Amino acid sequence: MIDEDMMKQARRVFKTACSVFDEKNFAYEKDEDELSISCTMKGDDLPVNINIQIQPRSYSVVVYSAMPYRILPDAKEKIAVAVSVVNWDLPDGNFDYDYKDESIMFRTSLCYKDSLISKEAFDYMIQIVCLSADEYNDKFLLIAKSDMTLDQIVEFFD
Amino acid sequence: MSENMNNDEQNVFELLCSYMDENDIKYDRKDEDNAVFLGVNGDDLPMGFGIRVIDGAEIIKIYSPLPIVFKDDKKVDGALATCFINFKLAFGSFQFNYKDGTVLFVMSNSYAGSLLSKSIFHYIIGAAISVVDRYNDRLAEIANGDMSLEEFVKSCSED
Repeated sequence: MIDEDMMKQARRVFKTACSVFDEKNFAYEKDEDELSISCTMKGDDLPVNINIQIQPRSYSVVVYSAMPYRILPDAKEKIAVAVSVVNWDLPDGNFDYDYKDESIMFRTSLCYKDSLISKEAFDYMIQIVCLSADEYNDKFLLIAKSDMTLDQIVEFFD
Repeated sequence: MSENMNNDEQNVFELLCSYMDENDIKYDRKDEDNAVFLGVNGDDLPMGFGIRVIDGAEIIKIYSPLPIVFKDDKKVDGALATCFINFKLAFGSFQFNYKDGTVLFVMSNSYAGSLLSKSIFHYIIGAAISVVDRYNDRLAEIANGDMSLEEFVKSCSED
């Protein structure tokens, strides 16, 4: 059950998140009932969508970017290995690969319980998501379409 | 609330230690790394956690190496199993080292420019322990060949 304090804290965090986008003049969509924000940025190769979801029950914020393509089942093992190799070297956040849904997303999150979360913290999370998604979105797609062996995939990221 | 809040590396570390002390949690402290280490008895496998306050990135990082190694013939299963779990998580992830077959649970929380309360530690440490305890035994069973990937997926889907 979501109580009044949970909602109060969640709305405060939501307001902070919105202000980050406002101050940077980023075009974005927000849903004040769902406490979510979405925005699309131009990446080096593919567009990078940024989504922020406040979760009042767990006092948490998830910032994530879904890759704008599906991974076909025959690339399942290659992508699972690629995601594992990439995640191991990331300083923060991780790529999630749902092979049943054929999708990849990059995710980072933060707990805010009884705390004052700054715009800086959101800036940091948005940057991490943008940079990581932009760095690897084309590489995962390339690997999925390639006939690389698993060893070649490991070498590809070395 | 203001008595418990702070926002730089040293203060965040002291807040963490203060939370541990107030809750009678036994830990080892390594001040030069702004890190604490603790052991937890889980349902199945023992768990060890490191919690570090990292300057520069301004993040609190919790990590737990699992006592598991996936041999070469099981590495793809290890990659697929950790991917399957990670997609279900809101906090943290199981990082699978494809080169040596080891697994590390990692969770981080930014404190950049923020004023944290001790409640945060209660949540994130509790979440980390709960997630590792929920999945470490099943990951071990796949690594040992006692459970197939399909059985693992079915088992996790029923959680």
